[in-house]
Amino acid sequence: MSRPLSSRTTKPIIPAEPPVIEIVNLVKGFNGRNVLDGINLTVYRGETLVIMGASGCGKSTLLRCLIGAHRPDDGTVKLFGKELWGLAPKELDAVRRRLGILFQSGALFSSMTVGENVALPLKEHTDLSPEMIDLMVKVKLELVGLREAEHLLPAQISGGMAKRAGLARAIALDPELLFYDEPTSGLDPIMTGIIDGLIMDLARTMNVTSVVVTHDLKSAFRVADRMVVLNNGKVVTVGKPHEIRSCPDSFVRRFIQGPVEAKTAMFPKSAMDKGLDDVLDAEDAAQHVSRLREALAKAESEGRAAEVLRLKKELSTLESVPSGEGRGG
Amino acid sequence: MDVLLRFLGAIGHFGSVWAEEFGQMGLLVQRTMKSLPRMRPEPVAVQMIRFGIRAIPIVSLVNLFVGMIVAVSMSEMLISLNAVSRTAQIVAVAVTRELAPLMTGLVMSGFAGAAIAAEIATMNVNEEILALEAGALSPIRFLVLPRLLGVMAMMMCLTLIADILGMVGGYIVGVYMLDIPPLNYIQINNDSVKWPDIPKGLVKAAAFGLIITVVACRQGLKADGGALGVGRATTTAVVHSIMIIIAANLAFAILFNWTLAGP
Ligand SMILES: Nc1ncnc2c1ncn2[C@@H]1O[C@H](COP(=O)(O)OP(=O)(O)OP(=O)(O)O)[C@@H](O)[C@H]1O
Ligand SMILES: [Mg+2]
Repeated sequence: MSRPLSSRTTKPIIPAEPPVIEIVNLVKGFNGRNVLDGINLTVYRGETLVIMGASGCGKSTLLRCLIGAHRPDDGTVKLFGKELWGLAPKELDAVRRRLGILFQSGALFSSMTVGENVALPLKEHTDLSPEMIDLMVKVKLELVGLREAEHLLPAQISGGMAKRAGLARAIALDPELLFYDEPTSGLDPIMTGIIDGLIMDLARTMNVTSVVVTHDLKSAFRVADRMVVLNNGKVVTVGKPHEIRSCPDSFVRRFIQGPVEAKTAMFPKSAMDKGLDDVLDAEDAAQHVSRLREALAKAESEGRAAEVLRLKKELSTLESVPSGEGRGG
Repeated sequence: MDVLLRFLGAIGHFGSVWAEEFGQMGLLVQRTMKSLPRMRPEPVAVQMIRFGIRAIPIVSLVNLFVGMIVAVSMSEMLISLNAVSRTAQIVAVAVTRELAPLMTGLVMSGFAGAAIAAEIATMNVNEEILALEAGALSPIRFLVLPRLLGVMAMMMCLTLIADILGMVGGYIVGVYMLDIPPLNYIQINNDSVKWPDIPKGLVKAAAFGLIITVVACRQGLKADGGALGVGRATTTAVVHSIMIIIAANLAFAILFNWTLAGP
């Protein structure tokens, strides 16, 4: 990679400053299998880096290494020029106070309301008055469209709301560095647009450095200054969005253009429709059978022999069809 | 030969697992003590209510019955010795010296230990612990410290309640079933309680509270693997804390009865 200039020219890059994130030859494995196998990445101030890769390829693991939750098996991770695993606990906390992270699961504190979740970092790390904190909480929740959920417990809100609440908590302290683990998964298209807008706003107006893990290509290309594609624990390619689009690597091409083709290849449309038809058929058939049975009973009680015979015959051909309750068993 | 080796290997494995476990728990205690200066009173109070106030009914009932059981099971022997009024003495000594702290500890292993382990393990598998750490908030100070102080304090209060209810249990059996005159019973009871046994019991209670919380927090903090891991952490916490409490109780018995008092 040559000098990674921001695609948005308004962002100043101060060369003297160390990169915000510097990952060198990072290796991390579980149970003898290397999930991350020699990752090299550098992220500069104000940049938005999007990380893409197949599900289970280690993106969340990479983020955990970046916040010092996993000890790397090899290599180094530096944030703000400081090697994470060389820091004393106090220094590590000082670094962590400068970053925010949105976990893939939201990871809200389940014993606290949404508002208390957002308030916690403010209460613990600032000297703000309770009224001021209250105001800040409302502002942050407003940003993610959750103003009305302030007093609900995490168990009482939906997955998408939990994710947005997690985002509100992550930005509570106005961090310089933000990690987003799939910020828009589980959100509707409108909310996805709002969250993408928020990510871009934070980057633009507050000069926040962002690392975004996402599977959503549309939002990836929308927010990214640079993108990286991971595969088999390695960086396949790094580049600006247009470079990624025209990347000749076959894995990247499949990844960028694949979704539509891959889907149709795996689930041919005819097969999917057929599956649906089967379900509908079974439903109809069950109803039909019960209607026939009713008619049969009526015919029998009224002694219409020909009718009874006809209905019995029709029923016997249908009986093999699973009935209403038995369906799917 | 092979069997012997395997047996020794199993013992070695068992030993090293427990050594590791105790080492980790010691570390946890040390780190918790370090965060003591930054303690806040409200979270401790919350835990005291959760695990103390709410445990009063069950601790009371268990110890009432334990006092009654001791009285009933000793009665036949005492009647044959023509010393039925000594029931008061036996119950008073047994309850204050051993049974009240021990039974309270065992009940609280289930009541508080299981709850703490399940709670922290769930937070762990939901990445809440990670979220705390990532936010530069220490799970030790946030979760372990208030529970530790709350449970230790409440163990002492509950043991006092247990002392009283154990003796009440003995009184009920002695007075209403063995026909000991009430004043006589109370007189003997008060004369035979060894008053230093009460503070010694409180020391034990605090130690058991420490054991319960540290074991539970340790299991919760190392839990992984979803709901299964939470279940495993909870069971292990209860089993381990019961075992360690019993062993500690033996150590206290030796210390208080032989070492400090002279054999
Ligand atoms: N604590 C752990 N213990 C064992 N294996 C783990 C652990 N954490 C992650 N893994 C393994 O590491 C691999 C990468 O996991 P990770 O969660 O980082 O994937 P991901 O890229 O974030 O996937 P997704 O896009 O589905 O979120 C997985 O195969 C997983 O089985
Ligand atoms: Mg992930």
